[in-house]
Amino acid sequence: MVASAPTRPGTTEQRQADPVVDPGDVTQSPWVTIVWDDPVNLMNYVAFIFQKLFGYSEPHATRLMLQVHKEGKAVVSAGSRESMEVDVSKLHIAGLWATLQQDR
Amino acid sequence: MRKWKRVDTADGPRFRSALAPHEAALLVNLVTSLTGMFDERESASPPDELEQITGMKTGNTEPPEDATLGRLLPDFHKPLDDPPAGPESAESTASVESLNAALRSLHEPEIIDAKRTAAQRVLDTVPDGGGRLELTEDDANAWIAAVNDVRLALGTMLGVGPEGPDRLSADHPLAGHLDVYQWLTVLQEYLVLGLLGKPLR
Repeated sequence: MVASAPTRPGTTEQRQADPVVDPGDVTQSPWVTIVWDDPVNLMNYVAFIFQKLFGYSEPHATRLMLQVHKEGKAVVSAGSRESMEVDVSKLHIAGLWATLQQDR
Repeated sequence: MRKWKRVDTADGPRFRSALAPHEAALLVNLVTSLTGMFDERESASPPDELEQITGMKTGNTEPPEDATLGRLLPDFHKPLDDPPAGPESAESTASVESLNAALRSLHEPEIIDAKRTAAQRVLDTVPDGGGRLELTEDDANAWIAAVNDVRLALGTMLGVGPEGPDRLSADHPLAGHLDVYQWLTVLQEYLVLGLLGKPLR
């Protein structure tokens, strides 16, 4: 990602930050959505998208953005495979490089 | 590129800026090429009998061959970095490929639709021949998405790496693209700051 100014909280509702496992599906590993670092997306844009799509607070969105930037990837959401498909689709619409996988 | 001014009104924030005539023309050209790429991709998807009966669109199962479009429409599942050795390897690679084909076919149409809608919104709000413009928050969100797609496309063509775009000599064939890329980077950076409600220095 490309360096940019830090961000401020969005106005959207806060979503649960921790991975959520469907209680009806405890026997199966949850699926996760991973965002990968890429050299074009701006840091402030990526943090803004995390706030807008997931309702994350500014500190949480910024932490995830920095994790993507420094470690090359970060898990940004977890849940059923269907909900991860929705999250990956939204991230692709926003131009972020995202994939889903089963968390083992 | 002029900065964006955020004005809070009773109907929500408005984002004001201005484009020079050549900037407006350039933006229209770039965003129009983007929608052209999406149209072409969509028309490449195989006709499907089920689609004709149900009205539900089915998309391509194969990733785009072109690297630029490939960056705009990436796979849903990453190939295994370290596939297990032996016969299991071919099996797990095949399962990732079939999952990717299924997810792409299911979700690519809606992703293309959303990207094209954002691009069209930019085309509808760019002032003809340049001049002042005022965007609603929805418009501004469409602008950052579509401008980002153009930057991703240009960034792929320019081979932008982790250290940013290489400097190109003025007579390099892609030197003009690099200038445009950097102009769009500034445009987007300031519009994101505006959407976040940051003071624009």
